[in-house]
Amino acid sequence: MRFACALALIAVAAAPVQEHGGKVDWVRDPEFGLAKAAHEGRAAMLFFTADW
Amino acid sequence: MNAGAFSNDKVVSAARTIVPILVDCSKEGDNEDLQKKYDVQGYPTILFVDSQGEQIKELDNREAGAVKKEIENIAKKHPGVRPPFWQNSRKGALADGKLAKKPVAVYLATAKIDMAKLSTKLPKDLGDRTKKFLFVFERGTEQALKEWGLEAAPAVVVLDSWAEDPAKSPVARIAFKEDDKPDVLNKALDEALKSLKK
Repeated sequence: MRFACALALIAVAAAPVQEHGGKVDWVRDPEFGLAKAAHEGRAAMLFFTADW
Repeated sequence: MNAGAFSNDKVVSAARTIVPILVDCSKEGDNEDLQKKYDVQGYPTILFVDSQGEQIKELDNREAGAVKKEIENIAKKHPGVRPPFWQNSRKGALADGKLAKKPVAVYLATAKIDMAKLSTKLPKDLGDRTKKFLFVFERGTEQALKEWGLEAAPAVVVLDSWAEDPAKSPVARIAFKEDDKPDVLNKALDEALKSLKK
């Protein structure tokens, strides 16, 4: 039971952000995004993720 | 992680005050420089950086309320020095374009583009066209150019935000050279706007 719960937790944690963060208008080109932030003088939020 | 935080409407709204960047590390070697720079140890890792790329902090509490508050605090300290010119994404631009009744202009850049120079020069050259279109930056890769039916970058593709499938039938495909006078692009954009009003 615990193992199943652990597996479920891992599955959720590793789920692609698109499934759970689909509404935020993400910049998907990091180099461009950081240049955009620099040009606008704004902070950026970097969401490092992997779709495994 | 509370995976729902970034679907929360208040978080989504707050995220508009900063630049939210998705760094996909799915394939080995992807964004390795960034991962090394910020010492990313696992996924997901969420960091805030200032406009110069210096790390401010890592996001610890990933509950929606906490995420919203964190973004707001950071945005308050980094309010920006100029309004955004580029939209975050084509998808976002088309959604906003539909609401604002504006077409989207996708700028396909050359490989060795100087982003800072382009972001300064292009809005100046465009004049009030910056208010008539929503501009999106994309890489003019071989694949991208082929998909758009273009031979080379730079180029601009104008999309009708209200079309059922905007990418399927662009309003205009505008090819030009980097050293062309601004008039070349501007006249073509004006023509595209006229054709949309018909």
